[in-house]
Amino acid sequence: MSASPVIGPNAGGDQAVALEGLVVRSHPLLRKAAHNRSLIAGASILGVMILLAVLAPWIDRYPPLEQDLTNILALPSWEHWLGTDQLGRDVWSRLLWAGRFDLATGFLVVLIPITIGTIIGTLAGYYKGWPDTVLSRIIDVVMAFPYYVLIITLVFVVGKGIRGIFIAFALTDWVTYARTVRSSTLVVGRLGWSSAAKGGGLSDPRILGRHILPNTITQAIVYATSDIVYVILAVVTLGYLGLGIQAPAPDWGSMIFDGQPFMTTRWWLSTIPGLCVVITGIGLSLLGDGLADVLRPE
Amino acid sequence: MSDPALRVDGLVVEVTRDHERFRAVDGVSLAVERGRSIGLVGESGCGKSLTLRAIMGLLPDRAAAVEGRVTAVGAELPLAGKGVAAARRGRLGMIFQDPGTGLDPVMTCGYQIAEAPRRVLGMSRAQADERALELLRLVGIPDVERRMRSYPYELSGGTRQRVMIAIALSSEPKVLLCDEPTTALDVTIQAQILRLLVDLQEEMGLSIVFVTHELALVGELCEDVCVMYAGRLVETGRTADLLARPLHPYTIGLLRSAVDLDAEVTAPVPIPGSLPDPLNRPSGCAFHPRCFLARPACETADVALAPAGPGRASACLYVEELMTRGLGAGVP
Amino acid sequence: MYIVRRLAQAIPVVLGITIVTFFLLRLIPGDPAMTLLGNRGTPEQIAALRARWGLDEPIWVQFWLFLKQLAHGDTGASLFYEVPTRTLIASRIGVTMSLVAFATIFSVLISVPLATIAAIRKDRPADHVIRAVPLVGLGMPSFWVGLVLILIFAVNLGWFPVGGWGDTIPEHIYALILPGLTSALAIVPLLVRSLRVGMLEVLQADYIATVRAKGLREPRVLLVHVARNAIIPTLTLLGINIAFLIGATVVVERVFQLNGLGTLMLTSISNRDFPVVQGVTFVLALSVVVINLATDLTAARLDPRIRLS
Repeated sequence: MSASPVIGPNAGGDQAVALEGLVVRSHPLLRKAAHNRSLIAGASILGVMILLAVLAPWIDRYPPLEQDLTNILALPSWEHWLGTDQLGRDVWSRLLWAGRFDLATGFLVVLIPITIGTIIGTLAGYYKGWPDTVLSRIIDVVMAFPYYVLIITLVFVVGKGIRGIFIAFALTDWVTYARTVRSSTLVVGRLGWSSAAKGGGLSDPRILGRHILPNTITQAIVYATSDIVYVILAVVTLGYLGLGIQAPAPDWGSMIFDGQPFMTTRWWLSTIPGLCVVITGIGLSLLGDGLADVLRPE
Repeated sequence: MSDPALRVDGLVVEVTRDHERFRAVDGVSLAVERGRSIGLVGESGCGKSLTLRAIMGLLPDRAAAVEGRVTAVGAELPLAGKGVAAARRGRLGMIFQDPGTGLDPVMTCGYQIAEAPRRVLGMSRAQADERALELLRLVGIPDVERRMRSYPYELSGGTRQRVMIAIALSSEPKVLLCDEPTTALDVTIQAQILRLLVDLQEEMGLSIVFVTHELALVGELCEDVCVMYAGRLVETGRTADLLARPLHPYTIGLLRSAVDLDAEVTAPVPIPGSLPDPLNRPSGCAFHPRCFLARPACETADVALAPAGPGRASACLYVEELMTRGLGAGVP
Repeated sequence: MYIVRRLAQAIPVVLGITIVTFFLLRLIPGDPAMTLLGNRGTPEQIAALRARWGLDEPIWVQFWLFLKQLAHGDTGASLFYEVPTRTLIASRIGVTMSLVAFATIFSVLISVPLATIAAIRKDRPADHVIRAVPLVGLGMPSFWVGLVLILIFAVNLGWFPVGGWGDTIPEHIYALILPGLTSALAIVPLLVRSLRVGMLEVLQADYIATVRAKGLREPRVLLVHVARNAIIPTLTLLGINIAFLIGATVVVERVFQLNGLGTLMLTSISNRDFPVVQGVTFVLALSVVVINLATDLTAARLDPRIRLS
């Protein structure tokens, strides 16, 4: 791969070649990923956001909880890059720490539903029969509840804060994964070779693990990228409603709520946290689209 | 000699795939006389469907006709742009391969057949419905009153294909382009549809271009035939003559690979290899990697259709050899 | 018939909703009656509540009690207001349903043209711009969108009221525009993305080629054949997303200070008024089932193939 071709799937020249050098040459998936513009763009945007969140303890300029009642609602300046809020706290620092919480919660919370949903969906799609019908009804029931309504109610019932968020999502979010994985499993199960494997005497867990799961889990992963967006949206919404992480800990949602009374004079207090969510959403969506392209079976 | 019903000169269709452009149809020319049929034969992917679609002005997004002239019933038809559909109204009609997907699923057959007479020919509702009934009878569908109110999903494959033909005829074209209309059907139904097309040709003086990958079918319907390979024509001629005396190794290969129930006990011999990737076209004659007659010159020479006797043309460099050796000789 | 089958399918779902709603109470940690009444509750009140909810009875007795009450339209009495919850719900439901209606209309008015244009002009600039809409829009919190719209259209431009419901019907309609738009934007990204794909499928279908081959003029092809076929997945999609839409309206009501079921629910949460929360949850879930049923039946009316399967 010395000269970069001008046309063809490998166009994009030096950039692609350089990336190839960094990436394991022999693995076909990684090579394909390196050429997918959507994936790279999404991963970059997301990477920047995650990096900022991770580095929060080092790049914030003031402790996010530190109030300064003599300097409330300050305009952006060298001192305070984004000004201060109604309690004199530095907005930039709070933004970083809010991102830290919201992003981390988003990524961690989604793990439980993926696991539960994949397991249940695979079992339902594989064994079929009445457990499958029952599962489909359960999924219908959960999906009948408007998304936020059920989450809000559950958080209310179980208790606010992180614990409530985890439980609420664990109980509601698994359904879409179960549904997706179930239909994938049904499709894969119908293919000739899996029946052949079964006929060959392979035990069920082995078939599930080696043959079925790798095919169905890619669907779940692609959906997960959108789901994380929904989860972050819900976490932020809960924060706005006062049902999320409790004050004074910063969260993009509660920051938007705090800034609402000052929309006319300090509009950025509410607008910028929202923009952070939007940007994260763009990154995740691009990543999801790219992954879908790369993982699609040829 | 009167004008041919349809005449195509030097048609070139470019297709874009994965950011690269290639010629899926590379300089195809053909002519169909009034009331006669021509077959266009080749393996899947050789460009024959695209040829028909280009003639009809129905190319999919990734393809574009970049060169060529199409004339039908005395008028030159634009290949792209605003006047494409208008020019073909009343001149060309087309039927497609899969009647399952070729009919609008949410409308009754009667509506679909009557639509063109109403909207294109300007008939009244009653007249158009009458016409639809006539057409249903013409294509040999029993119980026409009920069929008018049926939905496509209620019909069998063969009936659906007849409805498609009725729809194509509803705008009163002079030339009917058929894109593998029998491929998706049962063998017995195939024969019926072919029979129908022959009858329609006789009764209505319709000219037909019949695209298929089965050389055997062409013998039933078409007086002339063209053989296509990798976007170019490799042989043309009167059907009876061509089938008896093929003058191109590819045609010979096609004949040998077909299952012929009437023939002697000879097992079909498939042509080795497969169609070339259009992005990686072999140099010289595109068929040479699979050809039993291949010589060094085949790799470099610029091959084209050349006359090979009365009413015949072939693109093989060694056509004289084929003329003398005949079908059976020298084939491995 | 299809209608019967579809209705039969809905029944277990409704049953499921009641079961879930029933169990929500039992998920409250500790003694629900005490947790909810908190300091306000005297021991007599707590005991009375426990009796009313049958918390000391075996679980199936409790459920039976619950169902009986529900069958009589009794979803409990508000702890805070001391009126039956159904009174509260009835007074608010009009606002919420009007908002949902507006939001649905707006979302269709926005998504369908965008998806159609993107499909017709595939891979051209218009398509790429429209495809950015789902990308950017997916991550937009509804309440944030609402605030931004208020900032631009109500505060700065003064075209619309900042919030509230108004007193006359024209005022109601006027007041619903921004909130309706905000809620619509919650599902527009989803709709545009899926509709565009659906539109493309229809446009590239063989039967559209057949229709074009007949010689029909393009506007007629689009309006009659493409639209008729594309409307079915649109309806189905709308049905699927209505749950999300209703969920979004709950929050949007708070932003625009509309006195609907959403604000009722959120206020009741701060008041720890569980019966109201339970009642509203149930009603909203029920409306999702009903709306889904309506869209499915309409789709079946339009597409003969659905009736077959």
